[in-house]
Amino acid sequence: MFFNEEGILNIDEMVVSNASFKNIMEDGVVTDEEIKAQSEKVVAMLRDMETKYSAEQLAEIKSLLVESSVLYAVYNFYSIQNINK
Amino acid sequence: MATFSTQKILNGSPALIPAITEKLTAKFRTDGYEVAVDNLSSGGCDISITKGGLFKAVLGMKTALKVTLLPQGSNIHFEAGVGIWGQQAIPTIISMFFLWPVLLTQIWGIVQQSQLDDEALSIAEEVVCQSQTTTPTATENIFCTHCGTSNPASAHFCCGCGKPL
Repeated sequence: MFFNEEGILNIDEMVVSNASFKNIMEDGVVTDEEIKAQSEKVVAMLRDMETKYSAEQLAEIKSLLVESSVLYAVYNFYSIQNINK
Repeated sequence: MATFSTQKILNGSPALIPAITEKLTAKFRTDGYEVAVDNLSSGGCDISITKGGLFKAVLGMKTALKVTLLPQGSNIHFEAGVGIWGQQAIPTIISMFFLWPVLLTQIWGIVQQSQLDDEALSIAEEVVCQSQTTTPTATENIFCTHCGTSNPASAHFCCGCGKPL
């Protein structure tokens, strides 16, 4: 589900075919409203999950989100660090 | 970013960059890869090497092994890493993609596993090495001032008359 037949993460393909992404990128411009709406959508999904899933499942989701966010943050720090070298 | 690229300083003249580019292009095309070359304003070259099935497209953009050859003083800076086909830099939308670091790591893993970066480096080194063995240098031979015999530059005595050089 997360990986293609070569074992590579295929999340970007899910992004490209995602309805929200298609709608936002349709005109080639991203507006304040679109960012706000997408942000609210993510928060609403997280709130919805809190009511639907068990504490154990939520802990796993939380762990994934945190670890991914750590990677994103440190990768950006690493990129800036290399530019400044 | 050295973690996701192979870098090396080649002890050869930057004038060899076109020859290295030509050899890399020919070799990878022969092996069934698509190759694109972008000449850089610095006098260097940016070579994209890709093959369907080996390199995954990200957000609809084709990824590739990017070989960059840049003049660095009297040497050449060689760098092979993962990038986007035909572009000189990774477009912002990809580099800002939340899980790009994961994809970059995975694609770089495939490149290293198939040793494409090593292959590109060895081709570049071969061109540099060939140029050094075929280019005659001014100090290759010295002539004896007594008898006129040609001697290797490292000789201390003439191989013709035996007198000190």
